[in-house]
Amino acid sequence: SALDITFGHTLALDSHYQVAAEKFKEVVEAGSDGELTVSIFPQSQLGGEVRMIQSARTGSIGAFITAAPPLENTLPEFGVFSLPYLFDSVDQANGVLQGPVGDMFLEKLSSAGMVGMNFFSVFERSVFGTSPVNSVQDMQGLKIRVLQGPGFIETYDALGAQSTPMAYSEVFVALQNGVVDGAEASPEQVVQDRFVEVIDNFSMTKIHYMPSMLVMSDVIFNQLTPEQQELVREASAQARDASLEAYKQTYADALVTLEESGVAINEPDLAEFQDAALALWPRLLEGIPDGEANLELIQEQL
Amino acid sequence: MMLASVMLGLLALLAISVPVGVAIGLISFAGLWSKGLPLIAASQAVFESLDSFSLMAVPFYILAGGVMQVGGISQRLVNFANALVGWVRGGLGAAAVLTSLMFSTISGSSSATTAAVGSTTIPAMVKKGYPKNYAAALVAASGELGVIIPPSLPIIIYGLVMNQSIATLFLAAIIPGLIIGASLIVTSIAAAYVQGFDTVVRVHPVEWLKNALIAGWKALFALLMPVIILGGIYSGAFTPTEAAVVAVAYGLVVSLFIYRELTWRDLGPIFVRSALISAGILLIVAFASALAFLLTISQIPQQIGLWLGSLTDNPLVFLLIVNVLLLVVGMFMETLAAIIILAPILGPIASNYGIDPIHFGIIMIVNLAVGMVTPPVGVNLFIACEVAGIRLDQIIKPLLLFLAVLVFNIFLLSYVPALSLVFVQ
Amino acid sequence: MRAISRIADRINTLIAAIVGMMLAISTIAVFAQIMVRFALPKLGIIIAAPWTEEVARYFMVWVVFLGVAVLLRTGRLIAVEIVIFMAPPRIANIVKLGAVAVCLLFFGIVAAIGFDWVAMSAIEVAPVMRIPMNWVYLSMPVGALIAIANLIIFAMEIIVGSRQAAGEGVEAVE
Ligand code: NA
Ligand code: NA
Repeated sequence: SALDITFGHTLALDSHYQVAAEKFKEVVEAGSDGELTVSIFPQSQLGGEVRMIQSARTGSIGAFITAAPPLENTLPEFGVFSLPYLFDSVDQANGVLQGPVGDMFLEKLSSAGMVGMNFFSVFERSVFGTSPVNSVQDMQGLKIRVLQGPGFIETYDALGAQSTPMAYSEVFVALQNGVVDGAEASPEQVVQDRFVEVIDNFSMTKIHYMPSMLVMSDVIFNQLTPEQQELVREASAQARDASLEAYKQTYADALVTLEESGVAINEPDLAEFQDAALALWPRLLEGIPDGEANLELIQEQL
Repeated sequence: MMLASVMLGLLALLAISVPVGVAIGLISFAGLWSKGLPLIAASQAVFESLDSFSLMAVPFYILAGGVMQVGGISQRLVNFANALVGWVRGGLGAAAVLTSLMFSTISGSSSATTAAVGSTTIPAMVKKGYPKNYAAALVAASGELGVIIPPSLPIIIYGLVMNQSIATLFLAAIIPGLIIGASLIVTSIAAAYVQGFDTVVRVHPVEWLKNALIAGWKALFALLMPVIILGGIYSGAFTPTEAAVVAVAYGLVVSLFIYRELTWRDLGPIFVRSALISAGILLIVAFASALAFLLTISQIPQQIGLWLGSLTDNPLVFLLIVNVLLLVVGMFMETLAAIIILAPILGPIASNYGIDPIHFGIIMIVNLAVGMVTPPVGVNLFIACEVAGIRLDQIIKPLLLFLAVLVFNIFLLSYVPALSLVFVQ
Repeated sequence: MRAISRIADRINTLIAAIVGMMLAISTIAVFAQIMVRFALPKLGIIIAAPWTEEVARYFMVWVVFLGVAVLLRTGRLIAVEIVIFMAPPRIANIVKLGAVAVCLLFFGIVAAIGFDWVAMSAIEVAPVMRIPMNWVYLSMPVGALIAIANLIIFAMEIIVGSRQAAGEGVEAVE
């Protein structure tokens, strides 16, 4: 009988995650002669990323897409990707992750009962909200909702902002009412999750390039025949290509939408941001196992 | 097939008095096991649902309610409501509804509202010649305002499960709550006229104003509560969970230092009791999310969606089906569990019919709130009967009138989305 | 049996006090967060305290599992007790004992998967405080074990007749 691969992700139906997931499904189902099926559960239907990591480790789900920060709880080495201004551009970051360093990090997932398939596109995360950020000075005292991880919290605090913990589902109203002044995300998320309706500014601070990846459960992967394993690897590679392309497209479209919606797109000089952020690296690296060594490997590839 | 066995299993376990959270959890284990999935998948669901800042609004609002109940605030609200409307025929009944409405702005639960309001207003109504069972039915029905007027525990749970903003849902529930409250006030006055009980107390307008002002002044700190909670949320001071903690702090200050009806010694028992009540509720929330995982992964929502789609493509007919379904479910099932299990199934289908998820949330809440007043399982009925000292079967006859009014409200609020959405957009 | 009941009551009173204290700690943590974000900036003090949220959430998880265990001491978990109240006392006791058996099965499974979960999560740490997540995850098997002990004592009390199945009210809040 056919094996069904339960495939989860947390983003909307118009996200590059969904495009990639559909590509994966298409390739697997076309190539397996009805032996394998893929059921896609978007929009956190299978839970958030932390839970999907746990579920994959126990074999409760087959595959999922996750960003790097939620993995840090389980594999703290991934913390190196949360260093601010680690990369300069989406292309540069993707280039490194698609090379030997990326492969090395995917390997690490096997120690936690998972199979790292491919890195998908990184997210370029910037600050958006009610007030403009054109300099580090503008960051002073801003209440910004950030991802929960030291690389994010400490960076925003070091830049003079007040990082604020908050459930993602409350951010929209919090921005609307002024509980927070801003949040940080990639442009297409700002459009897909409707933040565009309540903000006036998108400031291209480009502080984090957050990796994302397709991961499979070890338990499920090992139930596949060698040919089927080859097939899902091929499907994952094609899903990766789809993701890289779709991210660029949704990113570009989002900037147009933001402008059309009357949101000011600010382009601060990043040099002073980078200076402030780089001073923080030694402290952040202390908390990341093999941080120094992996940072060197990454920088060799730049 | 899966859905049928889940429902039958649940009913069987509930019938032999297995606790709701345990029944739901055990059915989830059985379902996971039958699908060849590891049972540990349940613990993932349990911890993800419990480890949530938004969910913590539940224990904090329970705590706030506990402080208010002991701290002398509800009696002052009753006095104020009485001063306002006590003079008309049926005014005492109207005052009971009005008190429920005011108490609802402090309390997130309908049973706490029924208990707090019922313990003072039912004896007063009986003393003034209201039939016992009528007084109990009135208080039980108006107790449902506790979960409709914000804050509201079921609304918090709906927002969590459906990824909707709790602050927005609170806002959307205000007008529906006021409409239900107003319709119950009108009903109670009309019933008093028709049945000829309750006397008219002549009060000179000046006297009335004086009494109202004095009672209002005495209840001022209680009346400021919603201003602080809702005002705090919408002015950007805090999130719904933080607002609950502010309510606790405010309630403590008022009861300890201003009304002085609470002593430091009372604090321990209040915290313990609130923690235990919260634990009992959150156990259901935790394991209901395990069951929701089982249903999701079995693609039950899609199957039901297809089935409903084959029945009708008219959103009005869909809403009618949903309303009937929820009324039946509400007769037997615990409200929070019903939301956690049914919202992920019905919500996406409602979206496909073009129904706004905020509006759909209000429909679900208003509908399941009636379940707290319908026999055989209705927490408000149990409490009201206990306070009035009557049996469940004695309350049914006067209850039918109020149920008719509540059901009318369900349809009104279902078919006029603007009543929920006017502030939201 | 009396002696066992009394000792169990004392232990549960102690656990209940701990549970109440944990709720108090959660409350204070969130209050601190509000001060940090809302009040202190008005005084020109800008600090971030992301740990407050984790403290509040993790204590609350313990509140749930320990609190449920305490409620089971007197059978006060939210349940539909119509049958128990309608049936004659003998039948009610038998039905209640059946329900207790079902609960024992349930908390047995919960304890088992709880320990599995702890074993599996040894590598997980909290995002902000970086403490092992097992300090949180242990609440489930620990709570389940206490629940099992309380269920057994509860059942024994019904059997020896020192407790009526239909005696206790249910802490229902909806
Ligand atoms: Na309320
Ligand atoms: Na009911």
